[in-house]
Amino acid sequence: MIEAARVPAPAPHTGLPARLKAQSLLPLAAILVSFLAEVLLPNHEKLRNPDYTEFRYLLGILAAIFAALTATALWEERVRSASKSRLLLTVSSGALAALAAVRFGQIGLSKYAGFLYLSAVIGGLTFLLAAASFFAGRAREIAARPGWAVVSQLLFLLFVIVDHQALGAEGYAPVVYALTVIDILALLVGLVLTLVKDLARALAKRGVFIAALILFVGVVNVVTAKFLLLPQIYFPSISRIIHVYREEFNFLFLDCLLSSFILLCQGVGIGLAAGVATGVLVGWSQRWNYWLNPFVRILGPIPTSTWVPLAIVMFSRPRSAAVFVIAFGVWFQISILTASGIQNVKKTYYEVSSTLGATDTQNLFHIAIPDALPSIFLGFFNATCSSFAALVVAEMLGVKNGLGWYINWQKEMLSYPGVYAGLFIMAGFCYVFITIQFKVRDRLLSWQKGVIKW
Amino acid sequence: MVSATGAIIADSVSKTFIQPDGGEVTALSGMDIRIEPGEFVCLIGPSGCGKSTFLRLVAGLIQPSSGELYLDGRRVTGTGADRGLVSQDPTLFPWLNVYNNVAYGLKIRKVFNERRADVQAYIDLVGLTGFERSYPHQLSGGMAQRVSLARALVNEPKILLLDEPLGALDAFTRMNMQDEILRVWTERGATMLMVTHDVDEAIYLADRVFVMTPRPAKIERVIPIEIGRNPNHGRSRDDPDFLLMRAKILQILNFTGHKHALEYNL
Ligand SMILES: Nc1ncnc2c1ncn2[C@@H]1O[C@H](COP(=O)(O)OP(=O)(O)OP(=O)(O)O)[C@@H](O)[C@H]1O
Ligand SMILES: [Mg+2]
Repeated sequence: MIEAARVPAPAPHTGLPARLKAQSLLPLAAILVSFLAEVLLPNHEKLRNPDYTEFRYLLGILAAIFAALTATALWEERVRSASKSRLLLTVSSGALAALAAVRFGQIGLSKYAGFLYLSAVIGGLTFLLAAASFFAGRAREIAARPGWAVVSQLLFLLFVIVDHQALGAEGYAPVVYALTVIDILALLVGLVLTLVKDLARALAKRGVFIAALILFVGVVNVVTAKFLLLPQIYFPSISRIIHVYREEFNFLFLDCLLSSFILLCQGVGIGLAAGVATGVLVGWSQRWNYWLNPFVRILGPIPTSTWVPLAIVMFSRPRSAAVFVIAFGVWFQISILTASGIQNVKKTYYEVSSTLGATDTQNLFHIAIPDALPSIFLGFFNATCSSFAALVVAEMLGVKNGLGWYINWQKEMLSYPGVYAGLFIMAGFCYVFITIQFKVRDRLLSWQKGVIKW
Repeated sequence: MVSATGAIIADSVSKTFIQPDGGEVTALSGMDIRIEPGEFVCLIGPSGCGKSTFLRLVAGLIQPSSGELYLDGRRVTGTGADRGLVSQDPTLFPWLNVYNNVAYGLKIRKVFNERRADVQAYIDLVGLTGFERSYPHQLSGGMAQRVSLARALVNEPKILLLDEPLGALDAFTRMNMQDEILRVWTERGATMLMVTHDVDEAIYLADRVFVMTPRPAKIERVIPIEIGRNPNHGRSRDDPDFLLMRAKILQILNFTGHKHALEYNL
């Protein structure tokens, strides 16, 4: 896990060593082998009606991506990292955010109007900043930071979601469709141009692993689709799983993934706030410790699923019950580690701080919390990992939506392609969630580099 | 040079520590001290006699077991930004870089904006220009000690309590820092109370040297250093009076007990 947080070293100007270049060719070879097996061997006769062949498209897309990356890796010294593309990205998404906001403003959704106009202002400002970046040096520096692109992208996403939820399918006027497509293209171009060198390096280093993975998938494909060596109910062919994505794209991504994401954010957000607050109180103040600590000690270790019966009674809406169940586990883990982090702050730090004129409250915010931050983050990390488990439990509380619920539902219908489709989204989702967390940690706790084993 | 405030008076101050096993350690017993405002006093005494304890008492970090401690006529009840302490080991905040460590006191007291320039000035003064963005774990012991010194100096307290602030420095840097400390003292007129194990350093810097007895400690002897200072730096180290004073102090230290004589860094 720690490994994943490591930032790649800045690229030197010479090209990659020959061994790495050779490695970066392996994934392409693996794709070719898998593709030949897929095309040359016909599907097993029991699997011809309907005759799913989506695996070919997947391999095709992979081939395109890896061809670009491999080419970059082979001729790395000739590829320039494009920082202008970031500007392009910012400009386009900023403009799109503004346009989208204006559009929603026009529709005049009474319920969201205030929010939309505010967003239009933010989008407009982002756009102005990005536009200014073509002229002024300082603005250019700011706009070139990828953070801006991320912010404007999130904003844009928000518009689409609000639009979708408020108006349903009719809300998807051609304007929004067009804007979305343009935005996604700009995003892809920008991302590819900015990241292509880093990605190519990563590919070259992991070439053997990636090739092995692709080969494995190719073999699974041959086993399940071509020779039907495994029971097809539990081990559907890869093409059938991909077929689920094709058929249920909107439901899986716009409903389930979104619902899980929002549920998780609510639960983790509330748990985080409550956990840090409790932990700080327990760790800092004797009196709060006296009253709160027993509750933390007694209630905390109760496994999440035990709360389900109670949560249903306590909350009238299943959604609130689900949020509670997730928030509870997060609260406990974070409060425990925050409290111990604060209790373990060296006394001498307080002493130095006090002789420099700090009050007790200042000691809390300037000494105790910064010093406890690594511990708080550890708690947060543990908490998010276990919150994925809590998510699945929570979604069984009658919230007929979400990835966890979808997987369970598909399982009960003995529709295993759906189960796998859900599982893969879940895995990707958790991965992204945790990666973002590591990035945040790297930023906030960079002072720890060299103090602990990073 | 002499400022109106910054007087320290200790009236038979004692400090007894209770150890976890119930045993008692008497670090100080009946310390009587009178330090004038703006005076430079060096404390010398055997290791473990209670010098750091006395500084911590003056800083307000601990309370005397008996006796009274006054600052400008007021009893010491707690810490305050009017007394800066450079403790024996440089306790830098590991999550702040050198610049922010030094700026910490100013930020806490909300005067950072007006006094921003001083932060850099004091970093330059302790010779750490270029290390502003380094984190404490990237510094050597002596560098950390100098940051800790700058952090206390920039706060411009009325009273500076220095606990072997130059202990980890090489001879050359040490002499430089002694001159810088003298300069800050002359310019600002703070009261200085400095613990040192180095007799030469004490004579070079101090108006008066207080020699302490072994634990339980009190003041064994107060030695005024009446050798003239040069205008830009301290006393000449090869002045005959200097050497005489050195011999005298060493002799007094020897009187405090043979078994302790070995514990000085002479
Ligand atoms: N918090 C404490 N609890 C118990 N005993 C203490 C505590 N602080 C200091 N002491 C004891 O008080 C005595 C004086 O300690 P102090 O640190 O003041 O010595 P010092 O003169 O500064 O020595 P050095 O020159 O080695 O720094 C020592 O015997 C020490 O064991
Ligand atoms: Mg000491």
